[in-house]
Amino acid sequence: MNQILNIFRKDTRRFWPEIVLSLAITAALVWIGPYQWMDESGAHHELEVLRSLAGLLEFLMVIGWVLLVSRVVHAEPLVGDRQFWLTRPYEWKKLLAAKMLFVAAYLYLPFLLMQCILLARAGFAPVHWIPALLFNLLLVSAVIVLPLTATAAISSNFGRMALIVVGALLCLWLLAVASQLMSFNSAPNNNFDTPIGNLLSYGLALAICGAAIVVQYSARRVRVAVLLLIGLSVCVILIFFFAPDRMLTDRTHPQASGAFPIQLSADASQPMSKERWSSTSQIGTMVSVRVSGVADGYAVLFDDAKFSLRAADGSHWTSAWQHLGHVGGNGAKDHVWITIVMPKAVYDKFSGIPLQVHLTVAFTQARIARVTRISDPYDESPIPDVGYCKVIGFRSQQGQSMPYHLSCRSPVQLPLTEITSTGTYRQCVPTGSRPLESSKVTSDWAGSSDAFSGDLSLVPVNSRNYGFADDRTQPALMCPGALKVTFTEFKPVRRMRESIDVPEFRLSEAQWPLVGK
Amino acid sequence: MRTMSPMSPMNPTIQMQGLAKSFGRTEVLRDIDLAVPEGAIYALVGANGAGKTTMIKLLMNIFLPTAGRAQVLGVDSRKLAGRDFNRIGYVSENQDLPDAMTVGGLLDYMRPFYPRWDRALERQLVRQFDLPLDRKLKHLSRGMRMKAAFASSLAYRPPLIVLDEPFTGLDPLVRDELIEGLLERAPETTIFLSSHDLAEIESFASHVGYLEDGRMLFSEEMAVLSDRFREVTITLAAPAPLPPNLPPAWLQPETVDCVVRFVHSEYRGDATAREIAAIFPTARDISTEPMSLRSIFLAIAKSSRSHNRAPHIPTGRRPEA
Repeated sequence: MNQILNIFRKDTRRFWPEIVLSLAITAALVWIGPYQWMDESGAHHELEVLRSLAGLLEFLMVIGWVLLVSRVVHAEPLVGDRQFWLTRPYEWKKLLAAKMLFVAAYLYLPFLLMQCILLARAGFAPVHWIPALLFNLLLVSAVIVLPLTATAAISSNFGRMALIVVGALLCLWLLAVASQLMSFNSAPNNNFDTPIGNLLSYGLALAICGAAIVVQYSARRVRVAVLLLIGLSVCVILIFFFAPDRMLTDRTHPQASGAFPIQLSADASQPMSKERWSSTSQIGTMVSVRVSGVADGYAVLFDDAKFSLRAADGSHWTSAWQHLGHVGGNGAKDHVWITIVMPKAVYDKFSGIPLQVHLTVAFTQARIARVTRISDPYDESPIPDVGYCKVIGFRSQQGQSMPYHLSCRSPVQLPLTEITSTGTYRQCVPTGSRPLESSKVTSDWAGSSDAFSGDLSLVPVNSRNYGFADDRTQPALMCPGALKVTFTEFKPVRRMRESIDVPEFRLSEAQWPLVGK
Repeated sequence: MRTMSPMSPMNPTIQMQGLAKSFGRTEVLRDIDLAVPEGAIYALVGANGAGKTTMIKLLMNIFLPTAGRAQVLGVDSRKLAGRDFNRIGYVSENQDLPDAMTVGGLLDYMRPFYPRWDRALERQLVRQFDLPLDRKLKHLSRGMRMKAAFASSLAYRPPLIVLDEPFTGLDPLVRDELIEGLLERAPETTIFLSSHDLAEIESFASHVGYLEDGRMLFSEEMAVLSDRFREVTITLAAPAPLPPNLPPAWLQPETVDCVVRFVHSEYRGDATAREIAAIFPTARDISTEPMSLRSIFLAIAKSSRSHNRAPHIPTGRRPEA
């Protein structure tokens, strides 16, 4: 313990300017951070400046961490053969413990305090969110702190470490570009909303970065540590591109037995192919599926789908699992539209001929855990488990309230919540008059159904806008006195998959034009 | 499980068996066998690039050997770590010291690491080396930095002091101060140092090893080495060429008119005189002169280079042909 404290004291004395700088950035973020979720009304320009500043401070805070981690690890460099400490009675476990203590004292603790203060300033009780904050801290460790420490452990000084970090960021950027390109050429969203993939990536990052750090501190085997980190990068890239969530759908969603109450079938009352989505090499077609057997107080959330097409001449094509997102919810009591995506070559081959479609849908049976309804939320309303929400909009020249969006201030982790609204119209009329067009239900989603989910967030309060529109081109108006917003919180009960056979299906039946992307 | 046995004359402080180190395809050390007895002041000498620093870094577990093994204070060098360094003082000319620290800060920081740190000795060393406690190491001259490194490595009375080219580039005054400080510790410690400055180690080394091109040419006590090397000058009655097949122990033989000179690497008094008389029956005068360490090593090195092989070293470590 003496050795740990001795090294810790030495590092504290030596790196006090870096510590002060990092603390100052964190303190500034405590001060400026709340502007990120502040009401938009009022001084827009100043608010935008302060929001930009808060974003900059988040970036600077991470840069401060890079500096802090680099300085403290490079105080006893692990690479090289000229360091004086190598021939002194340092015990590697104590040296590593001293470095961890430094990171805990000057990085984790101020960060956690900052998050608690920001939560309190946003109107949330920090104590209630401690587990979520600790989970977020784990993500920060997996994504930022441990990779930084491992990078410092395989480099001899800040310059070399910075080069490695810049190189890694460049790779990330290339990955982002590649994923953008991929999104034009594969099923939409297949690489997103992947809790298993995320968990796997975070777990691998924690384990492998931790292993690389231990290898370096215990034996200073730079090659082994570098190989471990390269292996981690390759694994994360593979996880990102191969989306293990989709690969594991058969395991996570077992086949529903005959006794399972929820039944899916082809919906004969709806056109088979409603509209098509296309990219440079893919075409998506929407299929209507009838849902039955959903008990009161429950809902069905459609997760993934795969399908096979078979023509009369025996030629066939089978897709992999494709991610659907949270299709369903309260709107899927009777039927739901599912988008299936195929290569253009497949579409061209099977277009216009009768097909047998075998569609398998993976879904989650969810219990409706809580329903909160609010009317005309033009003033901020507290929504349990969601946060504080209000409609942000402006009054048009005709005196109508234009729906801008529903703005919610939420803490780090939300349960899976569907936000639906009714009372939106194409044109508002004076209160008491009959609306010109019937109201439609529009919805959006917040949160996640997975317990260990949530994105890494440096500021623990998210300000998110939920837009309501019944089609993409013309937003609906939120008319005063008519708007009702419902927050439905779902708790997953079980995951299943069911198959549907559609005997007569024509890809080109519908005549909607292709929407180019 | 490591064994930590106390050193005895039968149990050398440092022992190497077949020690070798390669960096890629470059062999830096080859098949080194060496034993440093307890209490010795062992000087490892050799030209730049001979492998001295590599050998010391292998001993300190900074590098891992490619083959063979070394034991330091009874511990396998590959397992040398942590508390083992309580018993080793290591100073190197190319060591990166914590430059941001003051001399006093360095001593304050190092003190808790060592259970046997002697505050009185620390104060004595600070006085002896005239160390400015409030000056940062990065603001010190090279000599002062070495003194600070010495003070922080001697104050815990290590039973083994390992020094890698400790006096290189120092002015004579600083060098003498360091040697003096070192020799004061000599009765209670074993010192293993590398140097290519032969004159300075000649005065205090008890043992010497010569490393050339990664091979240990010999390793023996200084007194034995001095005894067996002689510069021999033979005056002949008339000029004569060197006879063929001279003994391999005769290094760098040359003749000028009636005078033949060579270095005898196996000098044995009367027996050597009889050997010379047998080869040069017309010799009128044979004189032998003791040699300085520097002259011995120059003779060995030149002989080695002129033959492009290791010279004949009868009683030392003999390289493979």
